[in-house]
Amino acid sequence: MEPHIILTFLILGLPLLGFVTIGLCGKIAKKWAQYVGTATIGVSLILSFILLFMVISRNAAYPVTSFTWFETGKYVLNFGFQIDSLAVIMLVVVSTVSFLVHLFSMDYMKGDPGIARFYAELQLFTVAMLGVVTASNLLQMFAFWELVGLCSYLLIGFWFHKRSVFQAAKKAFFVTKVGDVFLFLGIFAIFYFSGTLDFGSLTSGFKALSETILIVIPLCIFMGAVGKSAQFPLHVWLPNAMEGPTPVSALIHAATMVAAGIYLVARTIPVFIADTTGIALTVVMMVGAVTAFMGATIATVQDDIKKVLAYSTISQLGYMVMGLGAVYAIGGNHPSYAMFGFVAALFHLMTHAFFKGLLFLGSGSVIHATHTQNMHEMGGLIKKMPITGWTFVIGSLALAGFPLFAGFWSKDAIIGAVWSNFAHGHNTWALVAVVLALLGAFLTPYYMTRCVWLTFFGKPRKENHAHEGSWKTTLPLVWLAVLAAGVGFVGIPFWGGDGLIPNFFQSFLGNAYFKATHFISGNATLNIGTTLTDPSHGYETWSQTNPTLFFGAIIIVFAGILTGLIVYVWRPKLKVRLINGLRPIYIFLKNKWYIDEAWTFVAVKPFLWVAEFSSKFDAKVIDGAVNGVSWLTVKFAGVVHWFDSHIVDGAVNGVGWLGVKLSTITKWFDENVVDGLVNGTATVFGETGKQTRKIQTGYLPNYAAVMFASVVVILLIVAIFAL
Amino acid sequence: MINSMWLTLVTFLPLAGSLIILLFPKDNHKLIRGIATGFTLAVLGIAIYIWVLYSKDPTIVSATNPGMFKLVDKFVWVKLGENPLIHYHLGIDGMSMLMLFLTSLLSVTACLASFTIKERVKEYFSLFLLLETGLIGVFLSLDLVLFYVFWEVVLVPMYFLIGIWGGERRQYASIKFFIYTLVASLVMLVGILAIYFKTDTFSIAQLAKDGNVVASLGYLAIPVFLAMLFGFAVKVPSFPFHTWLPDAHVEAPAPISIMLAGVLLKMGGYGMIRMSLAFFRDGDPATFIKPMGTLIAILGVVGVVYGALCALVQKDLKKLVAYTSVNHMGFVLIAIAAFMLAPTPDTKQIALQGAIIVMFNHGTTTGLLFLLVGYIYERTHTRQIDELPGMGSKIPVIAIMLIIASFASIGLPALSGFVGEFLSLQAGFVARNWIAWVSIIGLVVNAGVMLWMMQRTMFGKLKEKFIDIKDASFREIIAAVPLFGFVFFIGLYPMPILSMISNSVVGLL
Repeated sequence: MEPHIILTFLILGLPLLGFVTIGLCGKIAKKWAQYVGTATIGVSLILSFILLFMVISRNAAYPVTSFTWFETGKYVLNFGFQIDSLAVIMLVVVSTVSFLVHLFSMDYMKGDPGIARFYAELQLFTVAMLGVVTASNLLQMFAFWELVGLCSYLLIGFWFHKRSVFQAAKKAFFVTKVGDVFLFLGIFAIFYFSGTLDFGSLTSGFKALSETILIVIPLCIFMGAVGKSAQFPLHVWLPNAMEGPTPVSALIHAATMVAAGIYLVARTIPVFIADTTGIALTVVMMVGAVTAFMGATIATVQDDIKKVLAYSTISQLGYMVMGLGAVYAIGGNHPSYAMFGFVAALFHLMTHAFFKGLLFLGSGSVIHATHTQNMHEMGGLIKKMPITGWTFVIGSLALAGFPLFAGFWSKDAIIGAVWSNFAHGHNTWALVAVVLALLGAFLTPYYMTRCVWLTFFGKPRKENHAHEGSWKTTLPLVWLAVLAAGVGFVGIPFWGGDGLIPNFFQSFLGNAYFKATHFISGNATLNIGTTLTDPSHGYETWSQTNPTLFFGAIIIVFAGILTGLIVYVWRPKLKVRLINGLRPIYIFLKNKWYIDEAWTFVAVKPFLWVAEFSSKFDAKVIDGAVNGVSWLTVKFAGVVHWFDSHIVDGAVNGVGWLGVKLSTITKWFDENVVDGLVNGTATVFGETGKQTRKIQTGYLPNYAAVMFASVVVILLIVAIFAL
Repeated sequence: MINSMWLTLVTFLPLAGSLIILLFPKDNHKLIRGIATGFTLAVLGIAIYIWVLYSKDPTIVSATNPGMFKLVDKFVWVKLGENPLIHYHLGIDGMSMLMLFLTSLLSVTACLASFTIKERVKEYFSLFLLLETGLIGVFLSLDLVLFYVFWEVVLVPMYFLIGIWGGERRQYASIKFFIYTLVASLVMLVGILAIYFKTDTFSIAQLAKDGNVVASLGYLAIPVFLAMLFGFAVKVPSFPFHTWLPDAHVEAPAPISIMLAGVLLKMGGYGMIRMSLAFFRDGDPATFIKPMGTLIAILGVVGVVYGALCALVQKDLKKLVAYTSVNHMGFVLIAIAAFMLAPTPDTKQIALQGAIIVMFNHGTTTGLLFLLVGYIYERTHTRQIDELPGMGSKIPVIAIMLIIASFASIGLPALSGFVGEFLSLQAGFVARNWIAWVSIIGLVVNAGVMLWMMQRTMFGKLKEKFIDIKDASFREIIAAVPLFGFVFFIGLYPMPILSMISNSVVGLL
């Protein structure tokens, strides 16, 4: 086996081993669970980095290695690993955040009676997530994808004694399942048309398909991402998922699992590009844009620190989806611009994983110290918890898109890609998306300023004994803060001719993109592979083509921060006036755009009603029909009985009377006609006797069969009458 | 061909056990349980050995050589004049091998679960073993009359097992079960007789091999097909003939529910594949196959959605699981319809593999669910979902088992349900894509059913009165473990089972 396959096996296998070990022995050796868990994922992290450097030095993807999972007819479904730049980037991101969360949880979950279960589930989650990003075909990915959902369910419901907790867990699994069944349909369609689910040849059978089908298939796939990545309108589960332990929120509901939807779309991008009308990708872009804007608006009015971060996550995922949506529409003419969207989305996925992971862990540190999640009960914590406080500030700056921090570069790249989609791809919808994205870009620094100020600055509004945790808490925070501040530099845009710093991320990931799109290069309009080598198109961003907008974005960020400071720090009275002045909007936002209510109204209620109706229908109508038939049978039997005793018997008596009357006539008949017949009948009986003798073979089973047959015939007659 | 006695042995061994039990004193419960368990284990052992023999048998089954059956045991039973009329004819192919194994496996589970039966123990186990003989006989018979005899043999012990050891409304449920299925099987018998009169044979093997019943029946083809279908559909049970099922399940003691859902329902699906599909496969595509296939597809799709919807609002745990059976067996119908409607042999193969593996998976998963519901009932004496919150913290082992079984029922990958769901819906999608589009509603609702059920039973605050209940005993865990083994095994590596099924499928393509 090649080294990269062995490494992949180890990267997935170690946490799996950890899961099994903790699962089996967790009860006995409770306090070892956390060390085993952290150690396995620590090694996986190191191995992921080794694999990353192997792919970098190789400068190309490894060929897919796969084993037969199962066969059906002529079709083979594989189990294999696809190790390319996209996969290794995801591996590193997932294992980094997972390792830090494992470390962080040692303190956070200390003394919890279920700590072994917690670590076992974290391990299983990590295996599943690493499985999603290394899978070589869609069904295998889907399998891990569902397992990730299961772990999310289990971990949200970790403290299952509380009512709201298990409701949140159920909601999360159920809502994502709604998206997943569409993904399932998409898988059926691809498998049907292409005869395979290997990522390398997803679109191999797409040439003959109609335009409509080519639009529907990617949209089905995208529905999976809408559920998992909490896009409008299926985002409703994510805020509730915050009921889970905060490290879980950091790992699953901010950094990794929710990003799986982005990864799904990225991995299956050829399916999206195969839609030459660009409608599917435009839908993707608009869903992302609406989500980005909606999430940001709702985040501005949340009081729970985790809810602010949750809506912020929804919003940021919207940006990523928007970036992916910018991939086509223009791709036919300007493939390099098409690439920006793809690279930008993945770039933002990576930076977001780090800074949002940091923010969630920071909030966890605060919650652990203050025992509240309400920001209005915090304040002034920066003095008591300086490391948490300042790393949180760094994370917020990265999220807000403050210049030079990680989020600045990645969000810039996304808005740029969408702008290119409008400017070069002449997609009018992209302009709407850019406007929404810029509005979101204003709101993000605003709500983060609010969040940071309420939590860490000002006067403490409630008595607490907050203090910094041990190194297990602070090390992950510092580690992630370094990444949040610095990781953006791997992907900053070129300036001028040859550029100041090489855009490593783009050239590295571009490989995966072009390899993916290359598979449909048979289609003339999608012939992207040729322009790959043309650097004049390869490295350009909107920042270069439109510096006004670039600097405009920086101004927008500062404006957002400034507004936040004015409203919450310098002119607190303004806040009250704003709320009163904009009361309808405020209420609309407080109620989260009424989307939960809308779902209840259009889906939950009707479905429950239909279910109730079906159940009643089943008992009353269908079962009623069955019972009715039996009732009728009984009644009919009564009628038959009456008929028997009155009519039939009466008839018999009547016949008797008639018989006597007729006897005189018959006498004559008898003597003259019947005698002749009798002689004939004798002959008939003789023949019958001959035939019957054949059945009386003396062969014993024959008698049994005849007896059986008689019973059956009697039963048949009974049944016919009973019916 | 040399007759192999193994199939006869495995069929009648439980019957022997049933008679032997009658010889023992009725008060010695331990002994009787021991004998019954011994016999079910012996049957399982022989079934496994038959599996080995089956895999070793070098007979190659292919589309050109559909002599599908191995380990055949055949002699003349009834002669008409000098001509053999009815045969005692047993044999297995991949499908019946799986069903034989499922029956013997679930019998062991159900037998272990029956240890809590306290009344009339002797009669109970005697009838239980008689039931096993009937079930195995159905799956192994290759003669229509023999098949029918075993088919009816199943009814009798089942009637008594529900009627005597059942819950409050046991009489209503057992009589309903008996009459409903009897009527259905009589209708089926009419079909069988019609086939005999037109083809002059009762041999399932022959009819399946020729597959030209439609041509022989002429204008009777559709009525006879529908008669057979009705007989099977009631057993499946398919919408709208399913209403005996919730009643029977609610009233039946837990181990009998396991047999009922786990094995008895498979008789319907088995019959459809063995007869409806095989015998009638020469039907005209436009005037026979298409309308019949569409009919079955509609029954299946409605069952999937309707079963899940009904399950959603049930308050009784057993009724809920019973309705999910309607949902799951709907996938079998979908796959069977997909087989009929599919354009290519490749899809047909996916469809049948899907149908059979769904049947097997439903046997293990639903068997587990009923087993666990039974465990809970024995502890709490209630099946009302509202009464049972917080079980998770009190009986964690049972809770974990119930959660795994529920997720297997939802179709979580890595658990067995997923493979069957994927294959049957994939085939359904290819055959007619509306089948898959509508069925996904059932998938979602079924997920909701199980999630909501878990939420209301496992999580939350325990009721005061259940503070003393104890977690699963060793016997109870042992009863469940083999089923979980299959849930995981098929989920992770379905290949061995799928290739065995394809043996019996290839001949029908």
